[in-house]
Amino acid sequence: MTVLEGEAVALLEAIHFTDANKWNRVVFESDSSTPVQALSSPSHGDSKFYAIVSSIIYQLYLHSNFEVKFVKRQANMVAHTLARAAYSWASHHIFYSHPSYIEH
Amino acid sequence: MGRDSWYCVGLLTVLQPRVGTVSSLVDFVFDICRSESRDIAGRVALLLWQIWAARNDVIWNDAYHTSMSIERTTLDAWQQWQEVHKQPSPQVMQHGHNRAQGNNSVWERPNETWLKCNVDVAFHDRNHITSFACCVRDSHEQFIRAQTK
Repeated sequence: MTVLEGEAVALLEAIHFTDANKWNRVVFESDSSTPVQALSSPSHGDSKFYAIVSSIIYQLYLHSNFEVKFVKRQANMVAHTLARAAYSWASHHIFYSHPSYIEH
Repeated sequence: MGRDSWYCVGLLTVLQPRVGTVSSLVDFVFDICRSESRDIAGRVALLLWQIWAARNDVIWNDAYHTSMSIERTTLDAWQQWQEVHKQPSPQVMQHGHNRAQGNNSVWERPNETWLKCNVDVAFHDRNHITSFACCVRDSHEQFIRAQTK
């Protein structure tokens, strides 16, 4: 998996997660600008990256109150830290309370 | 590894035709600055820098990088460079998010009745595992739920 594909999959996973929880007004924030830009101006490639982008676009079409935004990494530290820490625990983990080692 | 890095960043087509036709790194860099677009020249510059940093890490810190981590740092650095040098664009008012502060380098609360979900991915070099993370918080900055995969 390339870096760009990974970043797009992260968005798609987040959308599935919020959808499964029946939350319907959600702003998604990623610190990767390429996938976010690709959502508003998809160039039509048949690469794996654009296949993932198309799935995201379809999900956004189904959920009109889902928005995707680019932010700088400093504003995304919670997800940044969580993704790096995920190395040390089981493959799939859901947190119901605030993980203590992640700053607010 | 160096060659893989060129491939990962999508620059192998820039590197390959010049192998054997330019006699030194200086000529190589000069030729790229003269004949390639700003985007390609920028990525080449940052890739050379990251390869240099990775080699230093091997020599001084005994730390080894994969081509994928070099790709990541190169693309990140290029993204940040473009972000910093971008012309300010007119602010767009979105209904789910209050852009009044107009600064996207600090986390901002979503509007009342909305949730915010921060998303990221991490590539763990040691065993080539990829982790996806998202963290959901509400307009009172309260933690709602998070997931890693």
